[in-house]
Amino acid sequence: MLETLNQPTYLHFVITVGAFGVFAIGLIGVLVKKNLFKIFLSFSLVESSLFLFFIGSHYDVGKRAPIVADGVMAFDHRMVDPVPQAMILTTIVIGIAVLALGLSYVVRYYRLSGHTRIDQMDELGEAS
Amino acid sequence: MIGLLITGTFLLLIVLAYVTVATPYLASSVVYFMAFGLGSTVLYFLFSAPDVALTEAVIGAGVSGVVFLVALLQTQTREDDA
Amino acid sequence: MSFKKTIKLKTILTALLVSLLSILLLKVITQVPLTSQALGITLLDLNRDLTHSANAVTSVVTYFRGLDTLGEVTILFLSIFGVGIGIDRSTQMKTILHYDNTLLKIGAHVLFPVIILFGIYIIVHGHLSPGGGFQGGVVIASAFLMKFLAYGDAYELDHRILVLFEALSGVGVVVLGLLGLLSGGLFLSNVLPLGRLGTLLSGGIIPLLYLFVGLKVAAEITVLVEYFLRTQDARDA
Repeated sequence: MLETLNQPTYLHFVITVGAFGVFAIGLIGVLVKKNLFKIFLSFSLVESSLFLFFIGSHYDVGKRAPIVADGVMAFDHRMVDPVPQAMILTTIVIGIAVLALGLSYVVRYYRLSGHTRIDQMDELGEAS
Repeated sequence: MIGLLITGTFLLLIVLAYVTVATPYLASSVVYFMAFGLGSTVLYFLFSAPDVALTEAVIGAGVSGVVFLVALLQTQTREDDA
Repeated sequence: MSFKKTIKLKTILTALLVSLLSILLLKVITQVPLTSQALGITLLDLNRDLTHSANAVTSVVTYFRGLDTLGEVTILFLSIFGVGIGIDRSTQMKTILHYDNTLLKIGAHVLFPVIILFGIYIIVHGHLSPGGGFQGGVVIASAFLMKFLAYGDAYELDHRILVLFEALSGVGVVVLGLLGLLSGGLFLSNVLPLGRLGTLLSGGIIPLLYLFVGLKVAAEITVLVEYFLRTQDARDA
Protein backbone atom coordinates (compact mmCIF):
# COMPACT_ATOMS: atom_id res chain seq x y z
CA MET A 1 0.00 0.00 0.00
CA LEU A 2 2.68 2.47 1.00
CA GLU A 3 4.88 1.43 -1.92
CA THR A 4 2.26 2.55 -4.43
CA LEU A 5 2.56 6.06 -3.00
CA ASN A 6 6.21 6.11 -4.06
CA GLN A 7 5.47 5.58 -7.77
CA PRO A 8 6.85 8.47 -9.89
CA THR A 9 3.55 8.98 -11.74
CA TYR A 10 1.61 9.22 -8.47
CA LEU A 11 4.17 11.60 -6.95
CA HIS A 12 4.12 13.88 -9.97
CA PHE A 13 0.31 13.86 -9.85
CA VAL A 14 0.35 14.84 -6.15
CA ILE A 15 2.94 17.58 -6.68
CA THR A 16 1.11 19.04 -9.69
CA VAL A 17 -2.35 18.95 -8.10
CA GLY A 18 -1.12 20.20 -4.71
CA ALA A 19 0.87 23.09 -6.15
CA PHE A 20 -2.04 24.11 -8.37
CA GLY A 21 -4.41 23.86 -5.42
CA VAL A 22 -2.33 26.40 -3.54
CA PHE A 23 -2.04 28.44 -6.76
CA ALA A 24 -5.82 28.50 -7.22
CA ILE A 25 -6.45 29.50 -3.59
CA GLY A 26 -3.94 32.32 -3.90
CA LEU A 27 -5.44 33.46 -7.21
CA ILE A 28 -8.94 33.54 -5.68
CA GLY A 29 -7.52 35.59 -2.80
CA VAL A 30 -5.94 38.08 -5.20
CA LEU A 31 -9.15 38.43 -7.20
CA VAL A 32 -11.79 38.42 -4.43
CA LYS A 33 -10.23 40.05 -1.36
CA LYS A 34 -10.50 43.79 -0.87
CA ASN A 35 -7.79 44.45 1.69
CA LEU A 36 -4.33 45.23 0.33
CA PHE A 37 -2.60 43.15 3.02
CA LYS A 38 -4.71 40.12 2.10
CA ILE A 39 -3.91 40.65 -1.57
CA PHE A 40 -0.18 40.70 -0.88
CA LEU A 41 -0.47 37.58 1.30
CA SER A 42 -2.24 35.85 -1.58
CA PHE A 43 0.49 36.96 -3.98
CA SER A 44 3.02 35.32 -1.68
CA LEU A 45 0.97 32.12 -1.66
CA VAL A 46 0.93 32.04 -5.47
CA GLU A 47 4.68 32.61 -5.51
CA SER A 48 5.28 29.79 -3.00
CA SER A 49 3.14 27.38 -5.02
CA LEU A 50 5.25 28.04 -8.10
CA PHE A 51 8.44 27.39 -6.11
CA LEU A 52 7.00 24.13 -4.78
CA PHE A 53 6.05 22.98 -8.27
CA PHE A 54 9.41 23.91 -9.72
CA ILE A 55 11.42 22.05 -7.06
CA GLY A 56 8.99 19.13 -6.83
CA SER A 57 8.84 18.41 -10.55
CA HIS A 58 12.58 17.68 -10.53
CA TYR A 59 12.40 15.15 -7.69
CA ASP A 60 12.20 11.38 -7.83
CA VAL A 61 12.16 8.89 -4.97
CA GLY A 62 15.67 7.89 -3.88
CA LYS A 63 17.48 10.94 -5.24
CA ARG A 64 19.97 12.60 -2.94
CA ALA A 65 20.74 16.24 -2.37
CA PRO A 66 23.53 17.43 -4.71
CA ILE A 67 26.10 17.69 -1.91
CA VAL A 68 29.21 15.61 -1.37
CA ALA A 69 29.17 14.82 2.35
CA ASP A 70 28.43 12.09 4.86
CA GLY A 71 29.91 9.11 3.02
CA VAL A 72 28.91 10.24 -0.48
CA MET A 73 32.29 10.65 -2.06
CA ALA A 74 31.58 11.89 -5.59
CA PHE A 75 28.93 13.52 -7.76
CA ASP A 76 26.87 10.89 -9.53
CA HIS A 77 23.61 10.66 -11.44
CA ARG A 78 21.51 9.70 -8.43
CA MET A 79 21.46 13.33 -7.35
CA VAL A 80 18.77 15.95 -7.81
CA ASP A 81 19.23 18.52 -10.57
CA PRO A 82 20.96 21.50 -8.89
CA VAL A 83 19.86 24.15 -11.42
CA PRO A 84 16.21 24.63 -10.30
CA GLN A 85 17.31 24.70 -6.67
CA ALA A 86 19.80 27.47 -7.42
CA MET A 87 17.18 29.43 -9.34
CA ILE A 88 14.56 29.12 -6.60
CA LEU A 89 17.15 30.00 -3.96
CA THR A 90 17.73 33.40 -5.53
CA THR A 91 14.04 33.86 -6.34
CA ILE A 92 12.97 33.46 -2.69
CA VAL A 93 15.34 36.26 -1.65
CA ILE A 94 14.08 38.48 -4.48
CA GLY A 95 10.52 37.64 -3.40
CA ILE A 96 10.95 38.99 0.13
CA ALA A 97 12.56 42.19 -1.20
CA VAL A 98 9.77 42.83 -3.70
CA LEU A 99 7.16 41.99 -1.05
CA ALA A 100 8.73 44.54 1.29
CA LEU A 101 8.65 47.10 -1.53
CA GLY A 102 4.93 46.52 -2.04
CA LEU A 103 4.15 46.63 1.68
CA SER A 104 6.05 49.89 2.09
CA TYR A 105 3.80 51.41 -0.58
CA VAL A 106 0.74 50.01 1.24
CA VAL A 107 1.87 51.78 4.42
CA ARG A 108 2.52 54.96 2.46
CA TYR A 109 -0.96 54.74 0.90
CA TYR A 110 -2.47 54.29 4.36
CA ARG A 111 -0.80 57.49 5.52
CA LEU A 112 -2.15 59.39 2.56
CA SER A 113 -5.71 58.09 2.61
CA GLY A 114 -6.45 56.42 5.95
CA HIS A 115 -7.53 53.02 4.65
CA THR A 116 -6.07 49.99 2.87
CA ARG A 117 -9.06 48.83 0.84
CA ILE A 118 -9.05 48.74 -2.92
CA ASP A 119 -12.83 49.20 -3.29
CA GLN A 120 -12.59 52.59 -1.59
CA MET A 121 -9.73 53.87 -3.74
CA ASP A 122 -11.10 57.01 -5.39
CA GLU A 123 -8.07 59.22 -5.89
CA LEU A 124 -8.84 59.79 -9.56
CA GLY A 125 -12.53 60.46 -8.89
CA GLU A 126 -14.08 57.84 -11.16
CA ALA A 127 -16.88 56.93 -8.77
CA SER A 128 -18.29 60.44 -8.35
CA MET B 1 6.81 6.20 3.09
CA ILE B 2 8.13 9.40 1.53
CA GLY B 3 5.15 9.46 -0.82
CA LEU B 4 2.82 9.43 2.18
CA LEU B 5 4.79 12.25 3.83
CA ILE B 6 4.70 14.38 0.67
CA THR B 7 0.95 13.79 0.23
CA GLY B 8 0.23 14.68 3.86
CA THR B 9 2.35 17.81 3.78
CA PHE B 10 0.65 18.97 0.59
CA LEU B 11 -2.76 18.47 2.20
CA LEU B 12 -1.59 20.48 5.23
CA LEU B 13 -0.31 23.23 2.92
CA ILE B 14 -3.61 23.45 1.03
CA VAL B 15 -5.53 23.72 4.32
CA LEU B 16 -3.13 26.40 5.61
CA ALA B 17 -3.39 28.35 2.34
CA TYR B 18 -7.19 28.24 2.52
CA VAL B 19 -7.18 29.42 6.15
CA THR B 20 -4.71 32.19 5.27
CA VAL B 21 -7.03 33.57 2.62
CA ALA B 22 -10.32 32.91 4.42
CA THR B 23 -9.74 34.12 7.98
CA PRO B 24 -11.15 37.60 8.66
CA TYR B 25 -8.41 38.67 11.07
CA LEU B 26 -5.30 39.99 9.36
CA ALA B 27 -2.83 39.21 12.16
CA SER B 28 -3.99 35.60 12.35
CA SER B 29 -3.72 35.28 8.60
CA VAL B 30 -0.10 36.43 8.81
CA VAL B 31 0.56 33.77 11.46
CA TYR B 32 -1.08 31.14 9.24
CA PHE B 33 1.14 32.33 6.40
CA MET B 34 4.23 31.78 8.57
CA ALA B 35 2.95 28.27 9.32
CA PHE B 36 2.60 27.78 5.55
CA GLY B 37 6.25 28.79 5.16
CA LEU B 38 7.25 26.22 7.79
CA GLY B 39 5.26 23.51 6.01
CA SER B 40 6.90 24.31 2.69
CA THR B 41 10.27 24.11 4.46
CA VAL B 42 9.45 20.49 5.37
CA LEU B 43 8.42 19.84 1.78
CA TYR B 44 11.65 21.27 0.35
CA PHE B 45 13.57 19.03 2.73
CA LEU B 46 11.60 16.02 1.52
CA PHE B 47 12.42 17.04 -2.07
CA SER B 48 16.19 16.75 -1.27
CA ALA B 49 16.70 20.49 -1.50
CA PRO B 50 18.30 21.46 1.83
CA ASP B 51 19.61 24.78 0.51
CA VAL B 52 16.15 25.95 -0.48
CA ALA B 53 14.74 24.57 2.78
CA LEU B 54 17.20 26.65 4.80
CA THR B 55 16.37 29.78 2.80
CA GLU B 56 12.64 29.23 3.17
CA ALA B 57 12.99 28.58 6.91
CA VAL B 58 14.82 31.85 7.44
CA ILE B 59 12.80 34.00 5.03
CA GLY B 60 9.38 32.43 4.58
CA ALA B 61 8.81 31.56 8.21
CA GLY B 62 10.79 34.42 9.72
CA VAL B 63 11.54 37.69 8.00
CA SER B 64 8.44 37.89 5.77
CA GLY B 65 6.16 37.37 8.77
CA VAL B 66 7.96 40.10 10.68
CA VAL B 67 7.71 42.47 7.72
CA PHE B 68 3.98 41.75 7.35
CA LEU B 69 3.27 42.17 11.06
CA VAL B 70 5.20 45.42 11.34
CA ALA B 71 3.50 46.85 8.25
CA LEU B 72 0.18 45.79 9.79
CA LEU B 73 1.06 47.49 13.09
CA GLN B 74 1.79 50.74 11.28
CA THR B 75 -1.76 50.89 9.99
CA GLN B 76 -4.99 50.70 11.89
CA THR B 77 -6.53 47.88 9.92
CA ARG B 78 -7.11 44.83 12.07
CA GLU B 79 -9.92 42.99 10.31
CA ASP B 80 -10.43 42.25 6.69
CA ASP B 81 -14.15 42.87 6.36
CA ALA B 82 -14.51 41.90 2.74
CA MET C 1 -29.93 43.57 -0.83
CA SER C 2 -28.97 43.86 -4.47
CA PHE C 3 -25.45 44.84 -3.39
CA LYS C 4 -25.11 41.53 -1.58
CA LYS C 5 -26.35 39.66 -4.64
CA THR C 6 -23.77 41.21 -6.97
CA ILE C 7 -20.95 40.28 -4.58
CA LYS C 8 -22.13 36.68 -4.57
CA LEU C 9 -22.35 36.61 -8.37
CA LYS C 10 -18.87 38.07 -8.59
CA THR C 11 -17.49 35.41 -6.26
CA ILE C 12 -19.09 32.63 -8.28
CA LEU C 13 -17.73 34.08 -11.50
CA THR C 14 -14.26 34.35 -9.98
CA ALA C 15 -14.39 30.74 -8.81
CA LEU C 16 -15.46 29.65 -12.30
CA LEU C 17 -12.66 31.66 -13.90
CA VAL C 18 -10.05 30.28 -11.52
CA SER C 19 -11.19 26.70 -11.98
CA LEU C 20 -11.17 27.10 -15.76
CA LEU C 21 -7.65 28.54 -15.63
CA SER C 22 -6.50 25.76 -13.31
CA ILE C 23 -7.94 23.06 -15.57
CA LEU C 24 -6.24 24.57 -18.61
CA LEU C 25 -2.92 24.88 -16.77
CA LEU C 26 -3.17 21.33 -15.44
CA LYS C 27 -3.86 20.08 -18.94
CA VAL C 28 -0.77 21.82 -20.28
CA ILE C 29 1.41 20.73 -17.37
CA THR C 30 0.41 17.06 -17.50
CA GLN C 31 1.28 16.91 -21.20
CA VAL C 32 4.85 17.94 -20.48
CA PRO C 33 6.96 14.77 -20.18
CA LEU C 34 8.72 13.94 -16.94
CA THR C 35 11.79 16.10 -16.66
CA SER C 36 14.88 14.80 -18.37
CA GLN C 37 17.97 15.71 -16.40
CA ALA C 38 20.37 16.53 -19.23
CA LEU C 39 21.49 19.95 -18.02
CA GLY C 40 21.76 18.85 -14.41
CA ILE C 41 23.85 15.79 -15.29
CA THR C 42 26.16 17.90 -17.42
CA LEU C 43 26.60 20.42 -14.64
CA LEU C 44 27.22 17.71 -12.04
CA ASP C 45 29.90 16.21 -14.30
CA LEU C 46 31.47 19.62 -14.88
CA ASN C 47 31.31 20.38 -11.18
CA ARG C 48 33.58 17.43 -10.42
CA ASP C 49 36.44 18.89 -12.44
CA LEU C 50 35.86 22.63 -12.68
CA THR C 51 34.99 23.97 -9.25
CA HIS C 52 35.91 21.42 -6.52
CA SER C 53 32.97 22.64 -4.48
CA ALA C 54 31.20 19.97 -2.42
CA ASN C 55 27.81 21.66 -2.80
CA ALA C 56 26.62 21.63 -6.41
CA VAL C 57 23.88 24.20 -5.75
CA THR C 58 26.48 26.67 -4.52
CA SER C 59 28.64 26.18 -7.59
CA VAL C 60 25.63 26.70 -9.85
CA VAL C 61 24.65 29.89 -8.01
CA THR C 62 28.10 31.47 -7.86
CA TYR C 63 30.08 29.94 -10.71
CA PHE C 64 27.96 28.63 -13.61
CA ARG C 65 25.36 31.34 -13.15
CA GLY C 66 27.39 33.96 -11.33
CA LEU C 67 26.20 36.74 -13.61
CA ASP C 68 22.58 35.95 -12.63
CA THR C 69 23.56 36.28 -8.98
CA LEU C 70 25.05 39.69 -9.70
CA GLY C 71 21.77 40.77 -11.31
CA GLU C 72 19.81 39.31 -8.42
CA VAL C 73 21.82 41.29 -5.86
CA THR C 74 21.16 44.38 -7.99
CA ILE C 75 17.41 43.71 -7.87
CA LEU C 76 17.66 43.32 -4.09
CA PHE C 77 19.46 46.66 -3.83
CA LEU C 78 16.87 48.38 -6.03
CA SER C 79 14.01 46.99 -3.93
CA ILE C 80 15.55 48.29 -0.71
CA PHE C 81 16.08 51.62 -2.47
CA GLY C 82 12.37 51.67 -3.34
CA VAL C 83 11.43 50.84 0.26
CA GLY C 84 13.59 53.75 1.41
CA ILE C 85 11.68 56.05 -0.93
CA GLY C 86 8.29 54.60 -0.03
CA ILE C 87 8.62 54.95 3.72
CA ASP C 88 9.09 58.60 4.51
CA ARG C 89 11.83 59.21 7.01
CA SER C 90 11.16 62.14 9.26
CA THR C 91 13.10 63.27 12.31
CA GLN C 92 10.43 62.02 14.72
CA MET C 93 11.08 58.33 14.37
CA LYS C 94 10.42 55.72 16.97
CA THR C 95 10.54 51.97 17.12
CA ILE C 96 7.24 50.19 17.05
CA LEU C 97 6.95 46.63 18.37
CA HIS C 98 9.09 47.34 21.42
CA TYR C 99 8.47 46.41 25.05
CA ASP C 100 10.83 47.47 27.81
CA ASN C 101 11.92 44.19 29.33
CA THR C 102 15.17 43.53 31.19
CA LEU C 103 15.18 39.80 30.55
CA LEU C 104 14.76 40.39 26.84
CA LYS C 105 17.64 42.88 26.85
CA ILE C 106 20.01 40.52 28.65
CA GLY C 107 19.01 37.63 26.41
CA ALA C 108 19.54 39.70 23.28
CA HIS C 109 22.90 40.89 24.59
CA VAL C 110 24.07 37.31 25.19
CA LEU C 111 22.63 35.81 22.01
CA PHE C 112 23.69 38.55 19.58
CA PRO C 113 27.32 37.43 19.00
CA VAL C 114 26.26 33.78 18.87
CA ILE C 115 23.75 34.44 16.09
CA ILE C 116 26.28 36.56 14.19
CA LEU C 117 28.80 33.73 14.50
CA PHE C 118 26.23 31.22 13.25
CA GLY C 119 25.48 33.41 10.23
CA ILE C 120 29.18 33.70 9.43
CA TYR C 121 29.51 29.93 9.78
CA ILE C 122 26.66 29.37 7.32
CA ILE C 123 28.22 31.82 4.83
CA VAL C 124 31.78 30.44 5.08
CA HIS C 125 30.66 26.79 4.80
CA GLY C 126 28.41 27.54 1.84
CA HIS C 127 30.49 25.40 -0.54
CA LEU C 128 30.63 22.43 1.86
CA SER C 129 27.17 22.12 3.37
CA PRO C 130 23.66 23.52 2.80
CA GLY C 131 23.71 27.23 3.21
CA GLY C 132 25.58 30.14 1.76
CA GLY C 133 25.49 33.86 1.32
CA PHE C 134 21.75 34.40 1.11
CA GLN C 135 20.81 32.27 4.12
CA GLY C 136 23.71 33.40 6.30
CA GLY C 137 23.10 37.03 5.41
CA VAL C 138 19.49 36.80 6.50
CA VAL C 139 20.54 35.05 9.74
CA ILE C 140 22.91 37.95 10.50
CA ALA C 141 20.11 40.41 9.76
CA SER C 142 17.84 38.51 12.16
CA ALA C 143 20.41 39.11 14.93
CA PHE C 144 20.03 42.86 14.32
CA LEU C 145 16.25 42.43 14.26
CA MET C 146 16.46 40.90 17.74
CA LYS C 147 18.49 43.88 18.96
CA PHE C 148 15.88 46.26 17.56
CA LEU C 149 13.05 44.37 19.25
CA ALA C 150 14.80 44.22 22.61
CA TYR C 151 16.35 47.67 22.88
CA GLY C 152 14.00 49.83 20.85
CA ASP C 153 15.14 53.38 20.35
CA ALA C 154 18.22 52.90 22.53
CA TYR C 155 19.96 50.80 19.88
CA GLU C 156 21.67 52.95 17.28
CA LEU C 157 22.94 51.46 14.04
CA ASP C 158 25.98 53.04 12.45
CA HIS C 159 24.87 53.56 8.89
CA ARG C 160 28.34 54.50 7.64
CA ILE C 161 29.63 50.99 8.45
CA LEU C 162 26.60 49.41 6.79
CA VAL C 163 27.06 51.50 3.64
CA LEU C 164 30.77 50.64 3.65
CA PHE C 165 30.05 46.89 3.88
CA GLU C 166 27.35 47.08 1.22
CA ALA C 167 29.40 49.08 -1.25
CA LEU C 168 32.64 47.16 -0.70
CA SER C 169 30.97 43.78 -1.17
CA GLY C 170 29.24 44.97 -4.35
CA VAL C 171 32.53 46.28 -5.69
CA GLY C 172 34.21 43.03 -4.61
CA VAL C 173 31.91 40.88 -6.75
CA VAL C 174 32.51 43.05 -9.81
CA VAL C 175 36.29 43.18 -9.24
CA LEU C 176 36.43 39.38 -8.91
CA GLY C 177 34.48 39.09 -12.15
CA LEU C 178 36.80 41.51 -13.93
CA LEU C 179 39.86 39.65 -12.62
CA GLY C 180 38.41 36.51 -14.14
CA LEU C 181 37.80 38.39 -17.38
CA LEU C 182 41.42 39.54 -17.46
CA SER C 183 42.99 36.17 -16.66
CA GLY C 184 40.64 33.57 -18.06
CA GLY C 185 38.75 35.47 -20.70
CA LEU C 186 35.38 34.89 -19.03
CA PHE C 187 33.54 37.08 -16.54
CA LEU C 188 33.74 35.46 -13.07
CA SER C 189 36.05 32.66 -14.21
CA ASN C 190 38.30 31.13 -11.58
CA VAL C 191 41.55 32.91 -10.67
CA LEU C 192 42.45 31.08 -7.44
CA PRO C 193 43.82 27.55 -6.82
CA LEU C 194 41.03 25.01 -6.55
CA GLY C 195 42.19 23.05 -3.51
CA ARG C 196 41.02 19.62 -2.41
CA LEU C 197 37.34 18.72 -2.53
CA GLY C 198 35.68 18.90 0.86
CA THR C 199 38.12 21.17 2.66
CA LEU C 200 37.41 24.71 3.80
CA LEU C 201 39.91 26.33 1.42
CA SER C 202 38.58 24.80 -1.77
CA GLY C 203 36.45 25.86 -4.68
CA GLY C 204 38.57 28.73 -5.96
CA ILE C 205 36.68 32.02 -5.92
CA ILE C 206 33.39 30.48 -4.75
CA PRO C 207 33.81 31.06 -0.96
CA LEU C 208 35.08 34.60 -1.54
CA LEU C 209 32.18 35.39 -3.87
CA TYR C 210 29.63 33.96 -1.46
CA LEU C 211 31.21 35.95 1.39
CA PHE C 212 30.67 39.16 -0.59
CA VAL C 213 27.09 38.16 -1.44
CA GLY C 214 26.44 37.30 2.22
CA LEU C 215 27.73 40.65 3.50
CA LYS C 216 25.65 42.50 0.92
CA VAL C 217 22.47 40.57 1.74
CA ALA C 218 23.06 41.02 5.49
CA ALA C 219 23.47 44.79 5.15
CA GLU C 220 20.44 45.12 2.88
CA ILE C 221 18.03 43.02 4.96
CA THR C 222 19.19 44.85 8.12
CA VAL C 223 18.40 48.20 6.54
CA LEU C 224 15.06 46.83 5.29
CA VAL C 225 14.06 45.68 8.79
CA GLU C 226 15.16 48.99 10.27
CA TYR C 227 13.11 50.93 7.71
CA PHE C 228 10.04 48.92 8.63
CA LEU C 229 10.53 48.96 12.40
CA ARG C 230 11.62 52.53 12.87
CA THR C 231 9.16 54.91 11.32
CA GLN C 232 6.86 57.66 12.27
CA ASP C 233 3.89 55.88 13.81
CA ALA C 234 1.00 56.24 11.39
CA ARG C 235 -1.56 55.70 14.13
CA ASP C 236 -0.64 59.00 15.76
CA ALA C 237 -0.88 61.02 12.59
